[in-house]
This record gives sequence, structure tokens and C-alpha cells, in this order.
Amino acid sequence: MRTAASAGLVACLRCTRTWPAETQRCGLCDKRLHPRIPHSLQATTALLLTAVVCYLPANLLPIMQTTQLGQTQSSTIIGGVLVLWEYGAYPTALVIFAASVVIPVAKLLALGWLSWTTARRHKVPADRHSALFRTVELIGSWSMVDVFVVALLVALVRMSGILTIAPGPAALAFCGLVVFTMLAARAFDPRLVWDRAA
Amino acid sequence: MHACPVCDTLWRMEGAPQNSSLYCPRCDHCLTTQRARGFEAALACSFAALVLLSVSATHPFLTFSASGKETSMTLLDSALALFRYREDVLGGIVFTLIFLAPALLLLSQCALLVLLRQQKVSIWTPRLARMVHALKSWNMIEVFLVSVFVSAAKLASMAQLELGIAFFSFVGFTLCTLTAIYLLDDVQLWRQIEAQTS
Repeated sequence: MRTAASAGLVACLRCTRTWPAETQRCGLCDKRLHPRIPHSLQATTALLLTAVVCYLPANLLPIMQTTQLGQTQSSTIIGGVLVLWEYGAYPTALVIFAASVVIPVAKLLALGWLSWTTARRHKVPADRHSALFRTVELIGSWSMVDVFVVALLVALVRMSGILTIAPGPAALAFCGLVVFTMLAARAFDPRLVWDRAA
Repeated sequence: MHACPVCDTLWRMEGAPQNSSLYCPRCDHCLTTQRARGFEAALACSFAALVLLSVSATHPFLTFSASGKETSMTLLDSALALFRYREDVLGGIVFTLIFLAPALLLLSQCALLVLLRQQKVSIWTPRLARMVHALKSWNMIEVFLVSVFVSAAKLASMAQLELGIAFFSFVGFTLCTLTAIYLLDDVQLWRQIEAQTS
């Protein structure tokens, strides 16, 4: 099968139209054209490392602080999951556990593995590579659940003197983790994998 | 000629029947779905979503009652409450993901589809199409909806939670927005713009 690159063309990633190789901007949608996303693997790796840096405070620091009758209690993400589990709210505990612990780690590992095997030219079937990448893009935003829960609880529970909930420093770190992994997935150019397969 | 954004394989549109999807023969990526009345349906859904969003933003979203006290919150409170705790960055991100990005997306989508329907040649047509494309990946309304249920489960032990009218219109808004995004095919959209501007 002929690719745009082998036919001396450059493809637009927004409207999928192809143009002669030396074209600077897409004549239809005005996107800047590159045969492949420039420095794709370096950018993906850099953004992934940033996400990893966010991962530590996101899990170690408290995500929210509950003040009940003058007593302040901090809870981390894992702590919140354990409390829900003790109360018997198993489905909710599992949703939070999947969204906040499993998905971010799986996404970091998957993207890391994708860039590593692409950079090292390991022999991996390209269609499996693409299936994994598609999954990473699909589940990308679901880790935001915990951040939204904090936002909702902070807005909802504000009975001065009796019960208030304040956001903790982990909320912003967690938000950063989600945003940086999404940006990392965007910086990754899946066409590189298929170039190696050809 | 077009190229697959995942594997760079060249493909052509000619002879594709209406209401069918084209898949890349090499990587199985869904290249485009040509819908006979896709633009009209997408316009209807976007407009319905805008109306539902305006209801969601102005009416009480959730009401929380514990020990005889009641507090209710609106959709925007969930972002604004974070500003009160000096979490400006987090508040800004939450505000963007659940309100600003979807609202701008729907407004630009409505304007774009109306312009295309009236077959008016305008410098705004490609600009609006680019905006729609950029905003699509930055709305997380379906994730926000799930986090409402998680918050309800978290508060179940200490208080009663009542769903307001804004919550139900938010459910409808989410369904309409996701349908509108699904119905508006990028390739079909840019081909239509090309046909009208040339």
C-alpha cells in the first residue's frame, strides 16, 4: 500500500488532505504541515516524565481536608477508596480505584512502552501498537473523576462551623497528571510505528 | 487524495456510498462516515444542547441537607468554590472543562453549520471549523456526570443529596453534545467547506 510519504506527499492531520511534499501550510484548513510530527518521541517522553513527577504528590498528599466540628481530617486518594470500601460502597470504590489508580498508571506505562519500542525499533506488530494507542486516547480523560468529585464536594459541603470540605494540594497535582498524559498522547505520532513496519 | 492520520496510507473518496463508513485497509482506523443529513442532525443536537446548558447553568444543580440545614449549588459553583480556597489554576481548569470549552464548542458548531446551510462564503467558516476541531478534545462533561454519582455515594453516610432540575438538563446536555460531536464528521465537513469556498 502506498503511503503519502512514499508518494512524495505530505498529509494534513486535521482535514486528512494531502499536498506536495514541500507545502508549508494546508491549503484547505491552514494547518502547518510536517511529514511527521517534529520531535514527536522527545516531546512525548518529556511530557510523560512531567506526568510522572505529578503522580507522586497526587498520591502522597491529601486530596481534600474535611473539617467537622473543629476537627480537621485529611484524606488521600487511596484513603478515600478504603473509606468507601469500609462503608460497603463497593461499586463507587471500584470506580474511583479504576479511574484514579489503575488508569493513570496504565496510561503512563502504555505510552512509555509505545515510545520506547518505537525509538528502539523493536519488532512489535503495528496493528497491536495502534490498538493500544487508541485505547490510551479513549480512556484519557476518565482519570479526572476524582478532581471533579473534590470540586463538587467543596461547593456542596460548606456549613460553617459544622462541616466544611477544602481542596488539598493533591487535587492540582492530579489534574496536572491527567492534562500532561493527554498532551503526551497528542504529541505521539502513530505513523512512526507504521513507518518501521513497512 | 487523502491520507490516513494513523498510518499515512493514501485513500480516495470516489464512489463511497452515502451513510457508510470508510475504514483504512492497513490499520482499520475509521477514516470517515458520510451521512446524508449529518449536518442538519448535528445542528439540531448542538442547538438543543445549548438550550439545555443554559438551563443547567442557571438552576440549582444539587441540594445537600444535613442536621436540618440546607445548601444548594449550581453547576458553576463547582468551579467557583475552588477560587475561594485560592486554587485558581484548578478552578480555571475545571471551569474550562465542564463549561467554557463545551459552550464555545457548541456556539461555534451552531454558527458554522448555519453558515454552511445558507451556503454563505465567509472567512469565518474555516476559522469556526478549526475552533470546533480544537475544542472537541477538551470537554469532559461525561466524566463530570459520573463524578456526580461518586460524590453522592461519598456523602450518603452523612447527609441527604437531592438532584436539582439543572442536573437532569445536564444529563440531556451531555447526550446531545456527544451526539452532535459524533454526527459531525471531520472529513465530510472539510469537503463541504472546500466545495463552498472554491
